[in-house]
Amino acid sequence: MKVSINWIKDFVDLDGIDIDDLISKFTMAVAEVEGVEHKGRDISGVVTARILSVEPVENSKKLHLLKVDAGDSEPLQIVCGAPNVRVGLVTALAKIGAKLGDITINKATLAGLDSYGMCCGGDEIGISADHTGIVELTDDTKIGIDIKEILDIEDTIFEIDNKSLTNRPDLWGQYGIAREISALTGRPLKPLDVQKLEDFSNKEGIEVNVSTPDCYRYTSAKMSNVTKKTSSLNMQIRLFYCGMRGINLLADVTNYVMLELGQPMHAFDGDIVKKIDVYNLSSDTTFRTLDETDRSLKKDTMVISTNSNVVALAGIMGGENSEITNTTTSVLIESACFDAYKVRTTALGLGMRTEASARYEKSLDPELTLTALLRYVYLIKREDEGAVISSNITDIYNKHYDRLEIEISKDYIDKFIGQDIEEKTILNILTSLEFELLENNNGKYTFLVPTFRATKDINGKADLVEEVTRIYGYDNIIPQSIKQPLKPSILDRAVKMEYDTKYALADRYNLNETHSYIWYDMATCHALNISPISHCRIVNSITKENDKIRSTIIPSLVKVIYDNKGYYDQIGTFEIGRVAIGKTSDNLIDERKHLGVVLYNEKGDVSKEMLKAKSILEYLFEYVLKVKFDLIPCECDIDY
Amino acid sequence: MDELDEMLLAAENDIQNTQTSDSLGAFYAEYFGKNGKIAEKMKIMKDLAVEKKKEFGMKMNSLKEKLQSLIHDREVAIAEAKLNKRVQSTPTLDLTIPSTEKRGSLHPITIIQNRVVEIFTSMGFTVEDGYEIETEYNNFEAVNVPKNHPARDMQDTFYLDNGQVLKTHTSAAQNRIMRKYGAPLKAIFPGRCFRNEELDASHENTFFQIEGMMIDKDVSISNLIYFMKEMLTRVFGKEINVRLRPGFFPFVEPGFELDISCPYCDGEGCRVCKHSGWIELCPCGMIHPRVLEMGRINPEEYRGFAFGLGFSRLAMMNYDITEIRLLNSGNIRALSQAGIK
Repeated sequence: MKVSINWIKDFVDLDGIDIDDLISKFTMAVAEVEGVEHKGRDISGVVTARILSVEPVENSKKLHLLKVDAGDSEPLQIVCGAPNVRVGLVTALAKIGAKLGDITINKATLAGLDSYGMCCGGDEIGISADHTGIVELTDDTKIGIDIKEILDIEDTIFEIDNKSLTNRPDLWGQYGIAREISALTGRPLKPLDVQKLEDFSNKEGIEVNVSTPDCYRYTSAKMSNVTKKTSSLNMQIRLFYCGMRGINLLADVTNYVMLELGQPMHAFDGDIVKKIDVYNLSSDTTFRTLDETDRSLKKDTMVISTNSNVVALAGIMGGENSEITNTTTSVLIESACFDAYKVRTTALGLGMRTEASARYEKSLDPELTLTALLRYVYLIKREDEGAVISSNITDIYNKHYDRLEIEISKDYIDKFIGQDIEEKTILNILTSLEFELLENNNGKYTFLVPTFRATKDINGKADLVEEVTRIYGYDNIIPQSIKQPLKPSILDRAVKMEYDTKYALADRYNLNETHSYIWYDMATCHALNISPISHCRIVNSITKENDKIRSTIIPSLVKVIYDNKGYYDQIGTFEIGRVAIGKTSDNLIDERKHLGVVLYNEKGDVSKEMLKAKSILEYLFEYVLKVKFDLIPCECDIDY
Repeated sequence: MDELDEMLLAAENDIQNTQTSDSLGAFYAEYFGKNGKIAEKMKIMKDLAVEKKKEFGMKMNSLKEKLQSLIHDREVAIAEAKLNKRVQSTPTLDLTIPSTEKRGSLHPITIIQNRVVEIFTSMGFTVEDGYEIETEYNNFEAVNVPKNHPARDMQDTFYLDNGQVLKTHTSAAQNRIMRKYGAPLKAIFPGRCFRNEELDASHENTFFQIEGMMIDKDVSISNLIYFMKEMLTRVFGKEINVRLRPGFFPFVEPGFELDISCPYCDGEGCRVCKHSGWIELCPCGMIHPRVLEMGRINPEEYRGFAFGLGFSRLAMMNYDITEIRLLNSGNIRALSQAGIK
């Protein structure tokens, strides 16, 4: 997951804090940072400019000759190939001497005309992947100022290894990361600006019917008169820097809230979706998702429907039939909590892991849905002042997690860590992570676990010790041996015998130890024309053919000889490895450890090798295993 | 023919008849010694007339040079003859040629494992053995990875047709060992693990790990750091620093990723540690209370730590092997480089 330092700064004051230092602290205390990117440092000399005139260029279909006001006394002449040039447009102009990454802008001559700079597309200044036209700034933008004064081009983005966030649903959003940074820096976490609840009153609510236990909570509301089509450039920059892209205002804000709070949201076209049914399908069906792909949905897949038409795959993706389009002016907002396992199995089954499903499968906090909805409405109104709240909030909350309180003492924490930690430190750390101290009875504490940590992550005392220790700093723990005396242990006889056997074979008989797979290599078996016995097979092997677990180790060793005999005229190899010789009465594999030795002699002198084999056996029995033995003739049909 | 010519002729004859370097030495002394034949002849010179003196001197010099050259050639010839004779008398033996006899070898994993076992037994750990084919319960449930847990996604498991699995980690033996011995407990258990994944230079479906557990009253995070540091210092044979970072593994709480100071550059930064000075080496942590409970050990009374160390990784680092696939390849020419110790 990508984290934007600019975004974090919305919630924690980082003035005077060394960002690189903070990021390495984050790795040591929270989760592994895989990479850091400093955005926008290599962009300079780009200013805001207004296009004053647009003239066609002779013999060119694409190029236009522009006069541009870049705040200088005289307008600049620019030759530009973008299709969206028009008189009055305010855009980003790279003046002569400007730097765009490795490129320096010089005076250029295009189609015989001099150009004193370049109008920039979003991709050229690194704020989007868009190369269809030049940047469009709002009409009221001040002209001739550095573009960085109005666009947050400079940012530090760090990427966290997603695997290290598996058990932390709260860290799948910038706000959760900000909370950790607040604890690490000792600076307060600012509250999130959201729409007030009382703004949703005296209106109709949306009809929501939830008939599946896999939907824990469904929160919904409606907005109308949304006339702005795109989100602000600064919002788009954050989306882009964090791995998404701008689409349209209503969709961008769902993504923005998801990246911010970790709560996936969906925006339905409010003219198409007016009521909501959440249920598991009673029969197979097909459904076209908004990525223009037809999906075959199995019975029991959880879906969102309106008037019996599926409009979304719950927790994964919306449908093409109800997506936000250019003409959409009203939106029905979904902010819901779905069962982690249900979403995960559906996503895996369809092979479509999305940003939303990746978050749901971590077990999200159902408390988040209302906050996210209020944040969504707040942001839409910030982006488009004319937008109107046109419904009350409907909130179906079917499954609450239990309130989780944990009792723990200072003594327990100290002993667990192995050193004395000041009470003040313990309490500061836990409260900064929003664990609420309910009671402190002489160093015996009762903490209330915040809901966003209580879905599966935090369970008991050991978890609280981890919270204290990681913020306190693992590097601050002094390594100490245990109090109990350490006496060397006696090596288990079987372990010793195994090593002695191997050592004797290598040192005394010049044999080479090799390792082989626990399954038969069928190509070797075919080449040798043998079909050795197997008592079980692997059901999901990548190499389909090699799925039989061996009951004898010999074919594996014969393969080793076969692969090596070209290099030696005489060779011997051995392995102590596992075989499955059958099954026990309760259908479990009877696994044994076998020693296999295979000797090879190019001259085909079998009797000499047989005598050597016999000598090896005698040695092992007499000197390693220390047992008496007799060799007796037997009838056997082993013929490798 | 004058006296000197005669003397040269006689000497030439004598030199050719000399058969040993000893007699050649004696001959040299006879002529070139302090009172040798040449010195004797030189005595005449003082009585000669001036013009004769010069002529005689030049002749003597020429004779001396000639003789020395002959003696040298003969010396070389004698040595050659001696060597030829020795070579002819023992036609197959040249001790300078490397022997072609193939030597035995242990697998690199066996060598590393033996070293680690010695270190741990010296610190009081017993060595336990596990199975390669395990029950789902031991491999997952007993180490706090219930069904439906996303952690089961993280490891691609080989499932067998009777419902058992090829164990995905040595932790699969934890439950059995805890039930067998109870607490306190200090044990290591090396073993082979399996993941159903495509092979490449750094991924194998069959690899070795060693797991260790220490359970006692008041075992602390501080103890874990101490033992890991001690153990790794002895494994690498030089002072190793360790650091912990948070890591998530369902069977420990808290869980850590343990980094070691790079043993190749002593933390200065090199290719192996990607110039960071640290190498991520092994996951470890304090055994999860539920795991203790399932192993019938009371987590209110006992605590413990556990760690898993990749032997395949360690062997690769130790023997500078860049291809993990080599370890299971059966390639004797390459594997035998490890020797037996």
